[in-house]
Formats: sequence, C-alpha cells, structure tokens
Amino acid sequence: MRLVVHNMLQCHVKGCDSNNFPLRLFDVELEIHEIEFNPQFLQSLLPKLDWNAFISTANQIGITSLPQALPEEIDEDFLKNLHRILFETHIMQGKMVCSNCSHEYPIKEGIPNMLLNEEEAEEEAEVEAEVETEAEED
Amino acid sequence: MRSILFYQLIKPRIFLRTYASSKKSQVSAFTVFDRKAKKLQRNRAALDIETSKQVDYLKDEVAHRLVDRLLDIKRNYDTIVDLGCGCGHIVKYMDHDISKKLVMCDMSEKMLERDKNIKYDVEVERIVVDEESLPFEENSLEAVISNLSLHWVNDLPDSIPKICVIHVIY
Repeated sequence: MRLVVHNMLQCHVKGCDSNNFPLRLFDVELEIHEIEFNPQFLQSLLPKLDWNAFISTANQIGITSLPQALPEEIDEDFLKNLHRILFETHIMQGKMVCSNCSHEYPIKEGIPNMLLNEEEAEEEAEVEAEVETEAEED
Repeated sequence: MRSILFYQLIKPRIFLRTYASSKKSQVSAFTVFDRKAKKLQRNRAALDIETSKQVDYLKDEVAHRLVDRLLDIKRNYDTIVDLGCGCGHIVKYMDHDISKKLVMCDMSEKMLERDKNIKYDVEVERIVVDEESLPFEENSLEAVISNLSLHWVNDLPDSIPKICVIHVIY
C-alpha cells in the first residue's frame, strides 16, 4: 500500500463517524519500488490530497522532509521528493488503527485488509460454542 | 425415556439457532446471502491457481466490454476503483490513457494475491474490502466500476448510494 491510497482510507466501523481519518500507522515495514516520475500526474493529484493527514502520516513512519503546509510555488525538487514518498514508498507490513474506535486494520504483504468481519466471526464462534454446551447439558 | 423425549423436543430449537446466529441483530429484508460463506468460497476458489485460471474467460470477456465502454467517456482518470475485482480482470484491459492507476478491491485476499506478480499497464493497488462496507473517504474517488460482482451484495438499494457518496461528482 502506498501513502497515496492511505490518504483516502477511513475507518468504516458502524457508528464510527468522527475523527476516523486518517488511520494511524503502526509497526510499519517500508520498501521502495521505483517507478517513472510523472510531474503532471502528481500536479493533478495534489488538490485531491488531504495534506494535513498526509503530513501527519508521513511523520508517523519517520518521513520528515515535507513542509507543514503545501508550498505555493512548486518546484521540481519538491515534486520529486513527493513522488518518492507518495508513489515509491510501499508499506509492506504493519497495521492501521482508527483514532476514534481503535479498530485495527492489518497490512500484510502490502495489502491492507479493511474487512470488519473478524470480530463478527469470533462472536459467532462463541454463540456456536454456547449452543453446543447447551446441547450437552440437555 | 424422559430424557430422550426432551432431547427430541430440544433438537429443532438448536438447529434453528445455529442458522439464525449468522444474521442476528442487523437483519434486513435484503439479507439474502451469507457473505462469510461467500468469502470462504472465493478464497478457496483462488487457491487452486491453474483451475481457477481456466474459468477466467467469462469475467475477462465482460471486463473487456466494460473497459470498451469506458473508452466512450471523453475524459481521463487518475484513479479508478474496481469494486469486486476478483483475480484482476478489468486491469488486463486497462491502459494508461484511461487511468493512471487502478485500485483493486475484493473481499477475498486470496483472489487479490493470485496474480500479484503480473505486471500491468497501469499502476495497481490492492485492498481487501467488503463491497457492503466501503472504507473510502467521501468524495475521494473519481470513478468506481464493478465487473460481475455486485450481484452478491445483499442490500443494493443501500450500497449504491454509498458508492455515490465516495465518488466525486464533476
């Protein structure tokens, strides 16, 4: 997962509607995969990026080479640095945690898992176990 | 004797309860499919790589037609989300002129992983997502497309408006 995708993911637990973006990153392992530099694509993407969320996330994973606010004049060095961080930095392992409800979304082999079912599955297993014990008791 | 009779009386109740447990509190009239079973089935299908590739042709064909229709739209996208991508059918026909990047979403991680070493024309990002509960921020996406997948979604009248919310309207 790249940071550009992280920038549009939010927690979607039922009822978790505020302070659910951005998801905080923990225990991350990073890898750099180089791709072609495309300044136009990057420029067109900038308005869609939530800069504050992006900066705080970058800080969490130890990247501090970016300005706190999006500069008015954008030069090539800045874009190249941004390209490196947004497109070439892959989060391979780790987890994303919601600041509001603390739900954890694991990242395995670069693929974030946004399913909520894990808890539901556990709950169901409990219910089944309950039914089984009841049957034994009867 | 009494205990046998009791057991027979009790048995149907247990039987019903195991089934009811999967659709406990949030039962809606639209809950038709067992999504958990569907996920298991998709994961299992993708594990047998060679056999699953033999049946790719159907979804490939429909994906081809879908991408063909995208070409009718006179604009380029930066990011398109493929909801319920399976092993990656749309991505095979997507080219750089239509979209720079494709976000592949599926509830089955095994399906997402099956072809992950193949290089495609567009940048690909994979996310495990349940189509019934989308994790995207409002107005964060340019286009959401889906190829032979949404028919497994339980509450379509509820899900489609949610897809519209995350989609930026131009």
